[in-house]
Amino acid sequence: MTGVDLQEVSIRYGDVVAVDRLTLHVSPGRVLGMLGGNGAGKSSTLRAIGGVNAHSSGILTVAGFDMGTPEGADAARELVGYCPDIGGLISQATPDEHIDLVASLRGTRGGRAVSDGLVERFGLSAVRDRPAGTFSHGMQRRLSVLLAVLTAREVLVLDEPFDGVDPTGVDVTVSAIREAARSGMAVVVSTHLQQLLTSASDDIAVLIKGQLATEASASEFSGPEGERRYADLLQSVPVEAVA
Amino acid sequence: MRSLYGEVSRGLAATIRLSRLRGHVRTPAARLRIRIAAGLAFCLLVGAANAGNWVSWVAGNLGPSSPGLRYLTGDTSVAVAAALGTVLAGVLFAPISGAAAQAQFPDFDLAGIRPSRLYRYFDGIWNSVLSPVGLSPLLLLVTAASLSTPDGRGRVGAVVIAMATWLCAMLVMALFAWTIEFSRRRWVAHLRWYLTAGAVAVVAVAVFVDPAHGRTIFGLASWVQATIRAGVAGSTLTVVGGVAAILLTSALTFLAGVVVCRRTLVMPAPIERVRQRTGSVSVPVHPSLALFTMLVTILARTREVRRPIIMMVAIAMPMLFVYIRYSGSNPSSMLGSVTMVVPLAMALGWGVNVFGVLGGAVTLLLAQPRAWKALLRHIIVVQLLASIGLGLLLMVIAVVTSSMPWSMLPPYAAGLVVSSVIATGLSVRFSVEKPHRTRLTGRGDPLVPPIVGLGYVMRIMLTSATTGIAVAVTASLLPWFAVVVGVFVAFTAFMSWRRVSSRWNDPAHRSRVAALVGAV
Repeated sequence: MTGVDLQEVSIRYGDVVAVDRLTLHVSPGRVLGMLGGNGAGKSSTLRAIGGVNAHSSGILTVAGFDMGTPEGADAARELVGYCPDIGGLISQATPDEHIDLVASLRGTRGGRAVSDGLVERFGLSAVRDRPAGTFSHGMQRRLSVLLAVLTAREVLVLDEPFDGVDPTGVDVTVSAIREAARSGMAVVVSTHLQQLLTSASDDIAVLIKGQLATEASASEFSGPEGERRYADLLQSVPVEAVA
Repeated sequence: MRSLYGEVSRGLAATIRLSRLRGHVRTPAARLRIRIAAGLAFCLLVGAANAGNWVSWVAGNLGPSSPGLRYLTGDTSVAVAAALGTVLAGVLFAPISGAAAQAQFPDFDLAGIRPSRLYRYFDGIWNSVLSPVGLSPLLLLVTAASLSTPDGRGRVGAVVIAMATWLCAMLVMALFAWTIEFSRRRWVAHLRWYLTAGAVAVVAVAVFVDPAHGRTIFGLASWVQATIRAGVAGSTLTVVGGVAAILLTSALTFLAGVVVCRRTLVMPAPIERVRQRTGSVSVPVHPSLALFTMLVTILARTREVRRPIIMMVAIAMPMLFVYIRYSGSNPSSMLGSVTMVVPLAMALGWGVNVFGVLGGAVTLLLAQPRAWKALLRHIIVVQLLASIGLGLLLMVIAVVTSSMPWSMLPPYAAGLVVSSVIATGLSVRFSVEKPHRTRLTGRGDPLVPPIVGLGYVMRIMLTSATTGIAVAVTASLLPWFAVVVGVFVAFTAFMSWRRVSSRWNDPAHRSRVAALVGAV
């Protein structure tokens, strides 16, 4: 298990550079929290690690596979559980259908004990025969996180997993993150909830304008002192850069 | 009355401002495409207005005893009746499907602007006029008017009558659309299905009861034809009177439409009953079958996809069969209409923006190993199977319910296959190269913007429908020609597949598609 490794990775959308020569490493068993203003490039980075976005240049290795090649990307997707910041669900399908589909596509269909346990844990038992499109935003986030946790084997990537989720759901998600790390997975989480992120992470990376502004232990960004430090970092950037 | 005038003028001004706003946010390439489409539409209109001259020239070359000349100089008003029948079908079904009252922007996007309320009325008309819903009736009516005046005498009057009739049809459609919306908000939110069933029943009874079995569109076609003939005979006053009558009807319809729209919009939007529970499908263990099953499930469970297809295949086509049977038309036209319509309906209802229909599911699928490869293949298979399967089913129904021999079926089945292959190839190309983010909220939201849909209809009609009909007609007369066309279509389909799959194989392009359609 080699975790996630980014070497000078850039992601461009036409003329727009979303991520600019980013170098990061997440070891197995560690949780990396990503902070940054709007448009800092966090989601683009996580989409690339999740195998949805292609990176434009640099070397991105996930679970030991080079995401720059189609074969490597497909091999990595087998081992990554990815929860996108938005979308990521079939609005016409029920949670059970989602679970069966991703398990079939990954060739891991078997007993339902694990998935049933997760459905129970994420509070989706009562709605497992309802289409995801009829869910509230928070319930959709829970299902999205559940699918990522269910499919992750070596890397777990969660983009805004706490967005609109109630405290119970937050607790379940945080414990799922910790369990994944304990089982040896590399975990990458992005959220704007700084204190929550620092409590769930081992390390924090702050992205500004697509570049790594700083990487430090989570404890350095926790508490009032950590909040001040993060605010200072964001304020050091002109407003238009993070708009 | 004074306040109504003020509201109408503010609403019209808001629609003009919003359409300008749409224009401002378009890329230069999109603007160029729209100008080309507008130029093409104008050329088609001019062509339609001169259809009479061309057919007259062809018939003249065929000799005085040719059926073409007999048709042109005969008493039949088939062209006008067919055009009016098609227009009336559109006027009836476009509002029921929700396509006739579309706004230019979603309500949420305009929350900060708050345009004057009646912009919705004018937006609906503007969108209809710019879409196949509005443009195809105009072309049909002008063509029919031109065919009714083959030697050019009375042509101007006939075209003016056609245009006035079209204007009236658009306003009737808007009135009907807002009456439906008013009824939904006031009484029954789930009204459309009842209306569909009611409209089909009323039309069916009317066709049976009418002594002419609907051939004169219940007297309307005869009146229009008589007015046109009066113009041909030099009675300008009759034409002016006819146009004035149509315009007066239009003005009254407009007034009624505006009043109904205003009364509708003061009520809150209806809350449609959403199915909170659904029976889970059994997802197969095999990855490929699992993906296929889920795509079919998505197709079946998405109202915006399901409804137009059901409406076209299960309602409009059987109605057309009944009409063809009782109006004494050639029964083979049933098979011809299936060849043209079913592949087009499947393409417009599903294929032209399939990633937009999938929405957030694209992100989920692209994050799964190897799913992106299978996704495109399965999208094509679903569309081809549905198009050919539904088409064949309708053809069998047509043969069984008419006096046609079974030997008529194979050539038209071949035409259906060719038409389906071309329509599928084109629509998948549109999906991959030009995906559109769409909010399918169950209120008749379009899969693609109206102006884009117009371009798609034209391209699919001009390629798949015409080739399919050509193969169907020639297959029994010149089998070798049909085989040559079949081989050519297979080759172009293969080349098109290579081009589309190479685009889809590009991970950067897939990223763009996912980013665009997945953010819903």
